[in-house]
Amino acid sequence: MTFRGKTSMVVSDTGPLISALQSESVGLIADLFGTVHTSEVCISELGRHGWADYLARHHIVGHRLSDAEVASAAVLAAQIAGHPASKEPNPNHHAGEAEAMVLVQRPEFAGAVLLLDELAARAVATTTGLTISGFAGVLLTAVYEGLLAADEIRQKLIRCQQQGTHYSNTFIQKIDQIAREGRE
Amino acid sequence: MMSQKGSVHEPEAELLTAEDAIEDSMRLRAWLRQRKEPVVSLQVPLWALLDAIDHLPPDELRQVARRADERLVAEGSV
Repeated sequence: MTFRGKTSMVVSDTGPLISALQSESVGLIADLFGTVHTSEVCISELGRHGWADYLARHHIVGHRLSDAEVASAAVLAAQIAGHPASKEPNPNHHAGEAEAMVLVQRPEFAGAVLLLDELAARAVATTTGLTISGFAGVLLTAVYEGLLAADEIRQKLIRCQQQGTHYSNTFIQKIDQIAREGRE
Repeated sequence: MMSQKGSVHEPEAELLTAEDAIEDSMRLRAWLRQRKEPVVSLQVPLWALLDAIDHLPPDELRQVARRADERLVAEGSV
């Protein structure tokens, strides 16, 4: 048996995972950060959006939270729902983000990256001192790390947009420009 | 509720700006730099790992059991 020192990991909410699946970028995330973990609520949400079959093809590990962790997630979900940037006042609609935030704070995920795309959830998560990123930040990092060609980032974001993710044309154009400038 | 593939997850949620993405990328690159510290491979006999498990307190033992279950599910062994 061989241990190879520090293991990199990433815990993701539903939104970034959907973007990754839409743009076939799960492997890219794994190359950058290691195994992709998420909560069972997020797995359920992915299933409701029709991605269940695709999850089986990727090494995405789902975790069931303990009762105590579910209680902690409920507190966070209420904070997200009550945040000024939130447009959804029902805490139940923020269960995925909240569970991901609780999951990443387990001792075995110490130092892991947390993927969150929604402003309200990020605002709450930022207070925990976690390393947080959205999906576009991951793609930019992949370009800077030489894992993704600068001209591929626009194609990936457009594929997400075409499949329903609310990336504006202006957002995609800016990210594309940043990626190209960063590689020059 | 079953949604269609391609349906939008939390369509009213406000997403990040390009400036947020730049900050994210800077943060991730710093994180990756930290992770690129030199590492060495360490050979550990399986018996040593099993022996260590014998001395774990209940909370840590449950953590190990949970991880083992997840790995077995991921490997398709359950």
